[in-house]
Amino acid sequence: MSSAAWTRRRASARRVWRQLRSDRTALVGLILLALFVTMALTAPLFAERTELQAAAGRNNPDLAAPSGKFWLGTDDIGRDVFALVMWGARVSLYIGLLATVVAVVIGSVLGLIAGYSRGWISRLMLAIDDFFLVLPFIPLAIVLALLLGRSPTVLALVIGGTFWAGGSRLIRAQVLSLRERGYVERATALGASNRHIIVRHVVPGVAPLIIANATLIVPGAILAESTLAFLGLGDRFSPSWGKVLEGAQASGALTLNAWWYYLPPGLCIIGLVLAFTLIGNALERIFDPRLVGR
Amino acid sequence: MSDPLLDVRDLHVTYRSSRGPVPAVRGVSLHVDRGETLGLAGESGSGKSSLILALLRLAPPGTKVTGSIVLAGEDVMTMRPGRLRAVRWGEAAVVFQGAQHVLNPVQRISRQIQEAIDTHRSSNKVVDLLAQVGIPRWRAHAYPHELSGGQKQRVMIAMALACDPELLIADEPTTALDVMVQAQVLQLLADLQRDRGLAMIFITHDLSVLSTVADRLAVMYAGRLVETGPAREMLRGAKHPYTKALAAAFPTIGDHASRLAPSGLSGDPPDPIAVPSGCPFHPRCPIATDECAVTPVELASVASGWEVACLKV
Amino acid sequence: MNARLLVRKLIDAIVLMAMVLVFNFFLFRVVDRDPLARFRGRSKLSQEQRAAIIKRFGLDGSKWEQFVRYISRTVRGDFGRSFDSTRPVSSEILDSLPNTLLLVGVSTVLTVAIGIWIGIRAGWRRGSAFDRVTTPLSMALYGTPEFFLGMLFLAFLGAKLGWFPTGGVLDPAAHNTGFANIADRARHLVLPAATLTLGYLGSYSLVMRTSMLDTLREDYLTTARAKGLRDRDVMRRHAVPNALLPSVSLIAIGFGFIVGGAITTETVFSYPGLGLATYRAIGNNDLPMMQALFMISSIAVIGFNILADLVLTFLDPRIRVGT
Repeated sequence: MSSAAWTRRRASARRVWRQLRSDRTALVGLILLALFVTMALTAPLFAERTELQAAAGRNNPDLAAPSGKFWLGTDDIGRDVFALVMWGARVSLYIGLLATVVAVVIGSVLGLIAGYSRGWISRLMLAIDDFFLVLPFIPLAIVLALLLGRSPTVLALVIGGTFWAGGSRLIRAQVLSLRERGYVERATALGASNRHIIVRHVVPGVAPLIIANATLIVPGAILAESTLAFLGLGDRFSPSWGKVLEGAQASGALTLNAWWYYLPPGLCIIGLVLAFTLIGNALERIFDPRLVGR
Repeated sequence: MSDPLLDVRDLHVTYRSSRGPVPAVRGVSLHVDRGETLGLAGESGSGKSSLILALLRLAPPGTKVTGSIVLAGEDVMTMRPGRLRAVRWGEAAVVFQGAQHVLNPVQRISRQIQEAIDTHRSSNKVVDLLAQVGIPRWRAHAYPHELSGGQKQRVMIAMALACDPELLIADEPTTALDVMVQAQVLQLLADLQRDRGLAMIFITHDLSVLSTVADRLAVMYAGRLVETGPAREMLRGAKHPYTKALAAAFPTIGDHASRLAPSGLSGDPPDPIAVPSGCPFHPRCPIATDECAVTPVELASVASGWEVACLKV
Repeated sequence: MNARLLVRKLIDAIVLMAMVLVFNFFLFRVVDRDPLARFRGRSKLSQEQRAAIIKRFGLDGSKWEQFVRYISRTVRGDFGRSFDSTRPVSSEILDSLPNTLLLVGVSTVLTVAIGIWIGIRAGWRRGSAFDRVTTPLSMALYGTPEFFLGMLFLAFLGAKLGWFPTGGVLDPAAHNTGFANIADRARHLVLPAATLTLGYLGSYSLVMRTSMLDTLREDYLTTARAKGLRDRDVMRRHAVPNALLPSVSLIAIGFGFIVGGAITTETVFSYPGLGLATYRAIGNNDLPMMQALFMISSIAVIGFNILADLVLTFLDPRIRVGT
């Protein structure tokens, strides 16, 4: 891309950032996000990774209430819950973001193809998209996870592979409307190649939508991951918040009133999801397609 | 006929927006007598639509409306909600631009017209009303999307007449229609008015349409009236430069001379938030001088029933 | 109602279900590389053991033969045998199905009805006290995993306060019959249903609210007001019917999530339905069970979507023959 184009992009990115900052709900979301990212990054300062291992809790009391030593008490095998929650931020963020990237990439590529191509390819894409949109997400993700494995990366791929359908529909609609607007015809008439058209005209038109949509897929991915982990498909010794909740549930912490075990991870999930939802909604307002086309 | 049917004095309409308060109407006074047609002309953004919405207190919530609006002797501004709802449609009905989404897309037109009839307990029948505007019986139960632009406009007219109002406010009723259909709708309105003795406010930005329809004319610019007076005389020899330009922009069909006259105003109508000082028209006015940019200008009488707001007249 | 459209929708439904069947097979026979790995355990299997297992779980023959056998069995309702209990999968499912139908049925009706009502009210009176309270609450609920909500209910309303039972569908000790039986079932249903309802209430109300806000900009509402209608009537007769349209399809998609949510909710409350069966199947790596459960949930969701599609056609006169 030419330097002039780059300067334009940077300027518009800065404009978007300024608008985002002035939006009050988005600000709350940004602060929350910063909080959790800090949590994830500073986890090693508060606890060693080894504290997540099964052996780590051997000498500690099980299901102990919060104290000066264990800020959030211990879990059912004596591990420090504070450590679990801090490190859990990493896993939840990693899987949530990676799953979103996968979903957005698949969805955007398929959406671009569906919107740009004509004839039977377009109809086939539409059928595939419809099919995935109608399949129940969690059961599908469960099945895939059962078959393909439970490491965080695989889980992220599985979640991404089931969540792409919604975004692809939006992308396709936007590509179609861009086509209607004549950019594509004019460029083709001027002799531009398909690739040039896609990169220069279609992608910039679709990019804001993709970004806003992606920010709203993250909450779904995080919730999906916590659900899968809760059902037993997560890694016990690199636990996400959902996995910690599974431990709480399975160990009877609920009936034993060990609130320190299940409240913190649950609240963290809510907080992180809220953060992305608020930011995503604000971005959607900023990028409202009804205003695009100035 | 001493008292006018509608008497508006010093009306101000200010919207609330994210950019701050927007003064769409800035002190307009006008009146409509029983049975007469007032043509209200101006470009988009002049405040015409805001004006008519304010007449029946239909402006969006939060809009500030000041001034006096007296309809058939009653003050609209201080009406109690129950009385206002009875007056709406019962005394004054609005014919909105049919081409826009002014009809509920999921309801049959017969039901929408019937709703007006039932709300005001009128004795009219849907099929009769539709027949009067030339919509056949078999179309009565159509949905809006099944009708053409011209048909939808006629449905709007039929619906407006459902409760036998005294005043009909037609907001750009012919704007989005092609010329043949335009002529039909104009003729229809003229016939209906004559048969029922309706008073009418006819809003448009096309002055040539008003030449056949209006008794009096009021021209609006940037939220204010710049010229009001008898329609025929004004169109033949307008005094305000803006009126002259508007008349020239839409040549009258059949009048060869007007086709040759240069038309077109340069520039755009001003943003209501940033109205030019002095006379708001001065940036685009062909005869403006330095004085025009500085001195505020009011409507002044130049003949009986004819007022112009221009320093150069 | 257009008969031709109805037939087309039904054909679409059948095609989709057929695709699910094929997809199901593809998942479990093609993606799953080594089905025998689950049985290996510590020792190696002898030839006879291998052959027996292969025969029992239908893993013999070429992929095509397996596919044909799979189709013919599924159509007859034979889903094989559970790896865990070795009972036929279909029996296990039939045992658990009524409980889940009750739970999901009640919750879906409640969450859709209440969610729509809240959304309409919040959107119509944007910025009102009602809106300013319910909208942030809806957002918070949207971000709450339904199982966490269930855990909170169980811990506080169930265990701590003892207002409701903490699990199961009936009290095993008291052998209630007749009315007492129904009352007992109802008591056990309250917390799981509340969980599932509240878990999705947030997203439904937010969707409806957005839809309402979009509708508020439409010109036909001004026409309705100009006709002298009361505010309430403008909302009910003109705004709501139009605002509901885009919500219907989103509601249908939401049902897919409710089905997923039923799995975790039943797990939290040990409620013996298909959801709990799914949880057990995961824990035991019970593939035939999982395969059947996936198929059933897919068909349920597809069925619901087709239903919503038909409702939409009924509500929106602009969709008649379809594109």
